[in-house]
Amino acid sequence: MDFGSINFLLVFLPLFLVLFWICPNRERNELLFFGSLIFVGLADIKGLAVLCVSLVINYELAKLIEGERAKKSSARMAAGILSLGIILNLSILFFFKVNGLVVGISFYSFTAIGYLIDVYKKEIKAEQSIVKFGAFLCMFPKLCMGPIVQYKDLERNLIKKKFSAESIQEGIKLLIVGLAAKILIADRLNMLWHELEVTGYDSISTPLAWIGALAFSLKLYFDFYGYSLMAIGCGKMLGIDIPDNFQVPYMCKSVREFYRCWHITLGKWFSRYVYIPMGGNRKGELRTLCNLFVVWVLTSAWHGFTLNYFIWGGILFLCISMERLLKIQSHIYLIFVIMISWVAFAITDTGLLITYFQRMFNLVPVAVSNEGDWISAISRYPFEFALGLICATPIVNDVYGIIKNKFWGWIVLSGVFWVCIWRIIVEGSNPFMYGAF
Amino acid sequence: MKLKTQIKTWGFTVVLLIEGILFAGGYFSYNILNTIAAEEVTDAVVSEEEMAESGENNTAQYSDDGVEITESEDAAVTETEQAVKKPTWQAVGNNYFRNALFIGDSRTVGLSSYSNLKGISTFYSNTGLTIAKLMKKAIVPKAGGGKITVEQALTEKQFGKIYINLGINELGSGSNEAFLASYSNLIEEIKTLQPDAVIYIQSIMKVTQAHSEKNVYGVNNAKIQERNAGLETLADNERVFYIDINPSVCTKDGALNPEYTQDGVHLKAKYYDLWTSLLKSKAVMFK
Repeated sequence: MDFGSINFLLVFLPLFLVLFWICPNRERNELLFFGSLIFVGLADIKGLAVLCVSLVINYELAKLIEGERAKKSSARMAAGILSLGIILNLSILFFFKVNGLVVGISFYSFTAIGYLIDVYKKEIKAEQSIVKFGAFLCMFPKLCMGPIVQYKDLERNLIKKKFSAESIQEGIKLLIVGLAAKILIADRLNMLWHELEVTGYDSISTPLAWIGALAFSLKLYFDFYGYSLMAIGCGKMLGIDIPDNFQVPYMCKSVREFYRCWHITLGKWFSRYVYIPMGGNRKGELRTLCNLFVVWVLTSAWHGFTLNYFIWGGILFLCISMERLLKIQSHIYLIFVIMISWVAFAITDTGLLITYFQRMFNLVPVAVSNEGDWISAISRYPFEFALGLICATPIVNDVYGIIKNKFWGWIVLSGVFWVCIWRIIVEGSNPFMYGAF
Repeated sequence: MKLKTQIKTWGFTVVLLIEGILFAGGYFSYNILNTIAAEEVTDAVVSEEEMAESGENNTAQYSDDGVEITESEDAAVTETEQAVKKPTWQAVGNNYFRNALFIGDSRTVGLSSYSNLKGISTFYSNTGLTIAKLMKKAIVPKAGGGKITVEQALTEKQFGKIYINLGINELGSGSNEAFLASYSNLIEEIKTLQPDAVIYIQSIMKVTQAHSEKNVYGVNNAKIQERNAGLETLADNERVFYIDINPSVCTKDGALNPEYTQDGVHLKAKYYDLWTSLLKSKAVMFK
């Protein structure tokens, strides 16, 4: 079920909240677990099956690893089981990435791998209750689009939830902000991006190519940031602390910094389970670059197996390596590089990607020109571009902080929610939101 | 808990719900009003049909009364008119399109932006345009800024030819009959507003085979075919003509050629001239 759907916002979530409210605290993990299974099952029954298999495997393996670790003699056995667990998780992930994706699999596979490694390292105890483990792995707020959480961060929430009327209100407000980011900015700018695709990249002017890249950069941010905020909001409503995934990334001044502020939990995961175990930056500059290279190859693969993701990761790896040598700190440089990298991220067909790059740098003449196409593009989405650019700055956090506890702020936020609902209904009944005939 | 604390705690949810009730009320009453308006339109169609029928009855009565001379005189007049101005199809150049107007949805928007008729013909086109929206929505930019409706624009300026390309946006909704009835109404209205213009009904462009199989929102080639067959019957071949544009962009199996499109529905910019070439090869001249 999509966070941005009427079924979720007006049916599933309110119903679930009411049940959660009347449910005694000790039964809430059960409710969260089974509710999340229903959440997945309603959208994708195949996804539910895969999730359950993954859940049982990881639950059992963690207990086995812990058992073997308790015996002093069998360290190798525990390492073997851990490797098996990692390979199993990655195989499932690989299989479904290639053969049509299952809901949230990239996120919960990585969450599970992290969990197994933490158990192996004895940083946490293997969860003995499958319900609690299930609630941790499958909880619906973070299932589809992350964030990737660590067990130790959520463990206390599984025992006692900070569930109150205040937390529900705060949660709803965050959910609204996230929903607005997705519906009012991301989805709209995505339409412009789609128009470029329909026109054919060989027939867009160079300024339009850059405006398209900007539109996609904002779209991707507000889509993903919106989802993350909705996840945090849903978590808050249930008294669960879900970590931040974004920290105004477009305000950064280097790619290194950017990826500490963009999809933070994935970066942390790679740092914790790949980069640091390989030696991080403690074994000389060359070894550091090798480690970074491995991390970026894996990060690319996590996003997808087509060549364009490796081009994306390659651009970022090169920039990060260069930054280590040259100590670059520039906002313009960052935006320039990130926009180019997002184009590579967006266009999965390499031939089309090359065409797009050629048009960005005017390396080939335009096939059919439509002068002023970029002015027309801006004039059709002025509100979205303006809002997107403003909301990419920290101002939005300040404004939110001011209005969220004011009565007029409540009226505005509630209004935004219903405007979003209205947009969802209109666009749901409009066949061609992305087709735009 | 004291009332004040209660309000402080639950205030936001209450505001949200109150606004929700207002929203639902507004939304439903808007929809109901729209449905009523739509019913009135259908009523209007029906009453026009009734009028036409009663008209026929009138002529029948006339002949019963033996006033046949008037009728045959009428026939003679039309015959001579036809003899003077007999429509023939032939190829034309860009000049033919200088006083042409194109009315249509996003596909016509593409035509206006990327075809070789850009800058030659006039285009009243808008993404998402339907027959229902056509006369109501302000889409024609005015010289001094602002926009007017197509209806207003048609009263202000006369054209020699009017090419219409509509129908894909309403493909998923309404019956074939209702579609043809509203299309026919549109043509009648244009005829009145533009007494000297030749009207071309362009066929609805097909989608690719892959897109047709997905059948998103009821868009498939079988249905397009059905509606096109209906559109063809609206042509009287005196002032209103039908042009099938599909041969210019379709494969042998009658689906949009996937090479020409990214999304399966719209032509890529560089293929719009396939469409205009077909229009240039097939224009009506009166001789």
